[in-house]
Amino acid sequence: MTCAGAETWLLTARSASGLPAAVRAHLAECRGCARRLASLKQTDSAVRKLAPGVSASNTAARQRLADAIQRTPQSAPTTPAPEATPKPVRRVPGWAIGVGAGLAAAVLVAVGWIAGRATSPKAIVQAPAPSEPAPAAPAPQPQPPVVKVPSIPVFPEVPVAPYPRLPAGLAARAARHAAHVAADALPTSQAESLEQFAADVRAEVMRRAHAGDADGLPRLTGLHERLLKLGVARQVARAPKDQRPAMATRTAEHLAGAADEVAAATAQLPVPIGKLIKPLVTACRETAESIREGKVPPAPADWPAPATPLETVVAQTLRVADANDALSRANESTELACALAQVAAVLSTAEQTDDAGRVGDSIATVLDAGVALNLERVESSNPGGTLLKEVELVRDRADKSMEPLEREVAKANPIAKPGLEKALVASAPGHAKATGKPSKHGKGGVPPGSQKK
Amino acid sequence: VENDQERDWVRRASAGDRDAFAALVDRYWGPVRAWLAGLTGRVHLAEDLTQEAFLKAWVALPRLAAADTFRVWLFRIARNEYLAAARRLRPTGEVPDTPDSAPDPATVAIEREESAALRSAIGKLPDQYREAYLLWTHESLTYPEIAGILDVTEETARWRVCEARRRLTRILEKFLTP
Repeated sequence: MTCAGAETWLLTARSASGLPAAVRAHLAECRGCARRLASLKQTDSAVRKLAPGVSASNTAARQRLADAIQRTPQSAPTTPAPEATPKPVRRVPGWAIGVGAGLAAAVLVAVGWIAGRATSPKAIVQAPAPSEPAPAAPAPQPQPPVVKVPSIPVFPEVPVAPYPRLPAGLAARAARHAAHVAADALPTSQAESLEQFAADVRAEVMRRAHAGDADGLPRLTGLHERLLKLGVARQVARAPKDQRPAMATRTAEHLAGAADEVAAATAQLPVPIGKLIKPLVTACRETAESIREGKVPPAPADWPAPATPLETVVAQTLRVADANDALSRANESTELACALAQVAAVLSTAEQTDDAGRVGDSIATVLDAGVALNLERVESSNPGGTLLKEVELVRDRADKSMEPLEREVAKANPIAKPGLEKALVASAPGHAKATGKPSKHGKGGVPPGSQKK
Repeated sequence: VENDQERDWVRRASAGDRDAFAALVDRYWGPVRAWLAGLTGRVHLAEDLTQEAFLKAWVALPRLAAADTFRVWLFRIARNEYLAAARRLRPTGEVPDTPDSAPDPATVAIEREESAALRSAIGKLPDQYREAYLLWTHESLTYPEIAGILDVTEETARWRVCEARRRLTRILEKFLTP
């Protein structure tokens, strides 16, 4: 066994015990290969330690899953195919009977001939002269893995993974990012969520541009710019000093890459649409440059009026991200929940029932992690109760945050009603936690996925 | 499926038992989230995708033919979620930062440099190598299982892990103790 032969084995094994004897023997003799195996194991172990730790957003995601499972029915199991219905009897013409009989006779003759060949005595063959015994076959050497073009799935019995629902649209994804911001006050986490938010808006702009849907593009590119300059750049600037340089470099690299990507895609579009998309590139580059230089980029133009529901959500998300203390975060989160309720109402009207439910999930997170948790923090850090009045005021506002949805349900047409109801049921657990009142719309109890082992 | 209890959870969950499914969520949430975080480089996005994957698994579980294939099947759903998200967003290809739970000032500086290098190195791996390698390391899956999840042959799965490890050790040479 040579070092080169052992290399492939080392790269595919978890430990020396999983290696063939020949390779193990080589390892015992070769210090270089033993060191190589140790390096590989060291790398694997370091990679294992990179798994993300427990975070508030993780708990919120599990809670959302638990709530969703409570109200989502399973699909019907695959049932066996029904028995085939008997086919109607048809009359066979006389000539066909004759042809059939002829064919049957031919088959019988052929079968008889083959059977005769197979059972007839074998010819006598002279036995071969004794010769030198054949050398023993060499011990099978371990073969290094061969690279093949993938062809046949190894597990054909594994069914194709399901896609029961369509992917969420921009509004539902925006709601999710907003909920992440409300649930996690760390600037690093908020910057990540806002960057994802901006990336989703950018993807939507590109999708619409390629579809020739140009009219709404300026509002969306403006939204994108605000998310980057008022959101991402500010949160990077707020990051702890020891984390800031790495975070700034990483974020600036992402944005520069995104700018290049959009610029390349723009070149393939008609010039008038390309011009409408150009602000995406400019915003990415300006923000990246400011972050690299450690500056906050200049504020974009004023918000357009009247604001669309998505713009309202973005503005309110940015306010939550900027809020420093628990009481302000709780207060801004109630406003965010209210803005999201309006988005859910709009989606319901457009018969986007699933997305309305998704927004309802996000509302629940905002009310739970953004309002209830922050109010708890205020109460525990304020034992004298001097802020009791403010806490009650925020709780009262949280209680009213679902009013847009409740009002709409009362007067909704049959198309909008399912979405509104879904959003209300989905948001109910968070509403109950933020207000301390039992939910009018959903069920309580410990949901699956959050139980203790 | 590692043991009879897990097989039992899968059967009961297939029949609509939410508590049994909750046990499966408890068992697999962490591994699926960690794998997706490694693929996306975004913890929040990974959590969203994990949530969606479990929800889809819950809906489709009655159609899963064999309880033994649950783990592979679940990771395939998670992979589909990842691919759909990757089509929507440009992947950053970086492994997310881990919050320091117990900072040790004496070693933090060195460890931070090493982890940054490691994250960057994993981020530089091609997607197909990264997904195979992270399944192999985080979940200790066998090559046939990895092949089942990635829908490739066992040899291809083996080759991808092999290549990922070769590249990582090359990039990280200076950090590895001789």
